[in-house]
Amino acid sequence: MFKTGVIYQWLTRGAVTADHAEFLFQLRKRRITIRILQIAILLAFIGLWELMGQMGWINTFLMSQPSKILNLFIKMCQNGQLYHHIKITLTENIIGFSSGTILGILIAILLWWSDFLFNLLEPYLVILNSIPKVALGPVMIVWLGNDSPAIIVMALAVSIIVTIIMLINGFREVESNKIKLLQTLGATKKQILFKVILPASVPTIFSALKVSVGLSLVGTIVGEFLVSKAGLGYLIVYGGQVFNLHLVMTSVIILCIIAGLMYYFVLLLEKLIIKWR
Amino acid sequence: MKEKVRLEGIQKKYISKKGETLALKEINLSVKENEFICIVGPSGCGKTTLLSIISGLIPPDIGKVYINDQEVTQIYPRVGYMLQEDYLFEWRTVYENVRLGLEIKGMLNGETRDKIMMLLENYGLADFTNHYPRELSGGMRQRVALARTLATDPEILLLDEPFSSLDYQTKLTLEEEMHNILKRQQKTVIQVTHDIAEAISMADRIIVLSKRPAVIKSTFDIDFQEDITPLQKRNIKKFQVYFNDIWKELDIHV
Ligand SMILES: Nc1ncnc2c1ncn2[C@@H]1O[C@H](COP(=O)(O)OP(=O)(O)O)[C@@H](O)[C@H]1O
Ligand SMILES: [Mg+2]
Repeated sequence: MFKTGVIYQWLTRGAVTADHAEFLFQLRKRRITIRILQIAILLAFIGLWELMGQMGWINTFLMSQPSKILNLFIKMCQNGQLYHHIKITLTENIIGFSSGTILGILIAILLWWSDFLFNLLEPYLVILNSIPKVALGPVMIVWLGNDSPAIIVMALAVSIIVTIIMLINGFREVESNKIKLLQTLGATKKQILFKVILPASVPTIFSALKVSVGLSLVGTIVGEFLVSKAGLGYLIVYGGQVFNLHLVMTSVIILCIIAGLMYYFVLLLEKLIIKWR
Repeated sequence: MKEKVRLEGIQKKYISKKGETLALKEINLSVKENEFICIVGPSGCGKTTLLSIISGLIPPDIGKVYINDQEVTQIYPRVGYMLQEDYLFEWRTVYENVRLGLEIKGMLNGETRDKIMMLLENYGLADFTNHYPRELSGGMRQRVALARTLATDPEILLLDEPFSSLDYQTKLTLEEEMHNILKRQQKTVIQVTHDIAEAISMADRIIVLSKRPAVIKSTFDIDFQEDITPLQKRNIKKFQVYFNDIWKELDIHV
C-alpha cells in the first residue's frame, strides 16, 4: 500500500515499533473513516433534499429547501433578527438551567444531610419527576405573567427535579466505608460532605448535567411556544402559523446546533475537571 | 511497662430488622505500650467489630475501653485505624490521599507537609506522589494507606487484615517493611488477621478468638530472639511449634 507516504507517516505518528505503528494506523484509519462517513451522510441528506426541491419532486412550500433556509439564515443574520431571538432563548435557558442545577444540588445536599427529610419527601419527588413539567406551563404564565420569568421557571422546573433525584441517589451510593474512613480520622459531617460525598459524586453531577441540559432546553422552547413573544420557540410557532416553513426549519436547525454545543460544553467541562479517570 | 489499652467486659450485638447477632460475648484485654498484638480468629467472629469498638467508632453494649487510662467514648484522636481495604480516594493523588488525616484534623502545615514527603520517600512512593490510585499496584496502594494512617503520627495503630488482599510475595515484603517502620517508631499495635503465620511473624502476643459470639480462647506469648525480622522468624523451628499450637486453637471448619 502507501506505507511510506506522508499520510501513513501522519497516521502513525508517535509509534514506537512497527507493530505499534500498524496498530495506530488501523485505529486512526477507522476513526477517520467513520468521521468522513458521518459528514458524507449529512451532506447526502442535504444534497438530496435540495435536489428534490429543485426538481419539483417535493413541495418546497411544505417541506422547505436547504438553499432557501440558507438564504433566510443569511438575511436574518444581516438584519440582526436572529441574534435577537437566539440571545433571548439562550439567556432564558442558561438562567433556568443553571439556577435549576444549583438549587437541585443544594436540595440534594439537604436531603443527604437529613435522612428523615429524604424518607419523608421521597414519594413526592418521584411523583414530581413523573409528571411532565411542561404541563405546568399555563399555570406559570398565570402566576408569573406572560413573559420571560415564566419561561425561566419552566426551564428550571424541568432540570431541578432530575438533578435532585440523580444526585441524592449518587450521594447515598457513595461507599459507606469511605465515610467510615473519614470518621476514623475524626471528621465532622460537614467534612464528610466536602471531602468525600461531593468529590465522589462529581461524575454523577456531570451525568445529571448532561440530562438536564437537554431537558431544560425543552422547557425553554415549550415556554416560548406558550408565551409567544420572542425567542427560537416563538419563531417556530410563528413560522408555523404563517406557513413560513423556511423559518420553522431555520429555527429548528439553530436549536439543534445550540443543543449540541451546550452538551459538548458540558463534556468539555467534565474532561477538564475529572482528571483522575 | 505502662498499660496503653484496656478492654473491660466488652459485649456487642448487632440488631436489625431480621433479629440480632451477638458478635462479641465478653472481651477483656490489656495491651502494654509498644506492644504488638495480633488478634486471630475465624472469619465473621467479630474481629473488625472489636477494632471499631477500640477506635471509638462504635460503642460497646456492655463494657468499657480505656486508652491511656481514659475511657473512650468517641473517636480517640491518637489512634490510627487502618480499615480492611485501602479505600483510597480515586479523585486524589497519592500525596493528597496521604494528607487526608492531617486535613481533617487541621494539622496541615509546612512541617507536616515535609513529613508526608519523607513518609512517601521511605515507602518507595516518592516517584508516585502525583499519581492517581488507579495507576498503583495492590502493594503500593497498601503502602499509601499505611502512610495515610501514619501521617497523623498516632500512638496506637489498629490494623484490620492489612495484607489480606495482597499476593504472597508482596505480603511478605510488606510485613518486613511494616515491621521495620513500626519498630523504629515505637508504636502500640493491634493487628487483626486470619493468617496464623503472619501473626506469629509480626506479634509479641497473639490473642485467639473463638467463633461467634467471640470470647478470648487463648493467648500466646511469642518469644523470638531480639532483632530478627518476620521473614527470618519463618525459618526458625519454634515458628512451626507456635503454628501448630495456634492452629489447634482456632475453630476452623472447612
Ligand atoms: N453493621 C452490622 N450489622 C449487622 N451485623 C453485622 C454488622 N457488622 C458485622 N455484623 C456481623 O457481626 C459478625 C462479626 O462481624 P465482623 O466483626 O466483621 O467479623 P470479622 O471481622 O471477624 O470477619 C458477623 O456475623 C457479621 O455478619
Ligand atoms: Mg473483618
